[in-house]
Amino acid sequence: MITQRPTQSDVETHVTWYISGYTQIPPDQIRPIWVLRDPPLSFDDSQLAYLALSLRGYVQHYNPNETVLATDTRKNGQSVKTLTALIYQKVK
Amino acid sequence: MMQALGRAACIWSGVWLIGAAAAAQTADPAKPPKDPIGSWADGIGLSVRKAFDGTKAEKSPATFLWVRDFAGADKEYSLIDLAMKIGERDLVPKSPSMLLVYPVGEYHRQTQESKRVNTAALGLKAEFRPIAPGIQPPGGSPPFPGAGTGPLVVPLFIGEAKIGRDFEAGKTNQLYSVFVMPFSTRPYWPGSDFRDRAHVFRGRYYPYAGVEYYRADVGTSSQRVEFGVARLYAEWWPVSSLERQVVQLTGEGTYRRHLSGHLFDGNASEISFGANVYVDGHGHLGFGIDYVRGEDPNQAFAFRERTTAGIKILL
Repeated sequence: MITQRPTQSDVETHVTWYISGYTQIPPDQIRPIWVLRDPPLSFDDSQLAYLALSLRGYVQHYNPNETVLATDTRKNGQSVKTLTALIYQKVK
Repeated sequence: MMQALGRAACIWSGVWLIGAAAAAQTADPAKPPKDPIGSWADGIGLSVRKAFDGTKAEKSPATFLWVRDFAGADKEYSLIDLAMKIGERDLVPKSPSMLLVYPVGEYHRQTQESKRVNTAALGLKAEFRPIAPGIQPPGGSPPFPGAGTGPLVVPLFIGEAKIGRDFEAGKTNQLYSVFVMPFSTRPYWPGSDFRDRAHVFRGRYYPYAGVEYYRADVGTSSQRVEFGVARLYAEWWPVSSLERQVVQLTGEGTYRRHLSGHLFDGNASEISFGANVYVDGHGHLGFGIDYVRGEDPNQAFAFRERTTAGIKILL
């Protein structure tokens, strides 16, 4: 299914929405500089793998040839901002 | 000699920890905190833990301990619990499921004269996530209709095959295990976050159930044992702020119900508690204390009870 690709701003909103779904922190309070593994997000390895699986569904909705791996979300220092940039590269 | 080495290690570690803490404190709050240790490990695809055995140890840092035992026959001894994994692969990278496979290596050493431990193991682990869980953020709209839908609870399957060597006893052992763990993103369900009103992360818990098969040399023959296993792991962060995690408390209970075999006759159980203080505020580097009591599967289910304290490294 070919769907209109989201803009970078859209992707930022969407990635934040997924992160909010895992952390239960409201999307409007999640800051781009927050690192996934570090507080206040504090994802662990299991959650990061599931987040990758959720984002895989998101990316493949727009670009079936792309994917998201657990190593993408488990990467040390991966922040909301850098993850958003990675996901945007995959969907555009 | 051992005393001198231990004291030197403690002094060196103290200096290093103070330096790391100072570096963390002086970071620019407008930028994400730099994490040179984590970045280095990520560059070579390395994870370091206390063990990769599916237990609390897998969420615990590697330990390099110098123990001062005031009541014991050995007043001082050292202890190492180190496990590493490198080169994780997803075997179904474009499917709605995820199958991760990776090799692990472990080394455990204790120099206490009456309980000497010197073991190493190599193994292969697999994690299978058949489907993503449903998510319900407390605000915002889904990116497209149907996004984030999924079951309230999803299973995570964890399999392991491991071969080990006990260098003290000159014996070889094998372990094969399969576990299933429920996972959810809903508050208070397994795997989800406990957060306070200010959204500070406070803790989470994971229950597991599965089967384990052990085979090991006993005398001149080889014996086996199979267990049905139930396990509960929980962690709690009583001292933390929105952007720093400092004190971690962990607890775990494992019950092994004997199914068959004579490597160990009867049921086996283990409990452990830990308290860690992370000076870097990220949960990578700190010091802590651990208590464990019960039958040790890495030592042919020999009973042990011990309390240890030392440096913690988690990458």
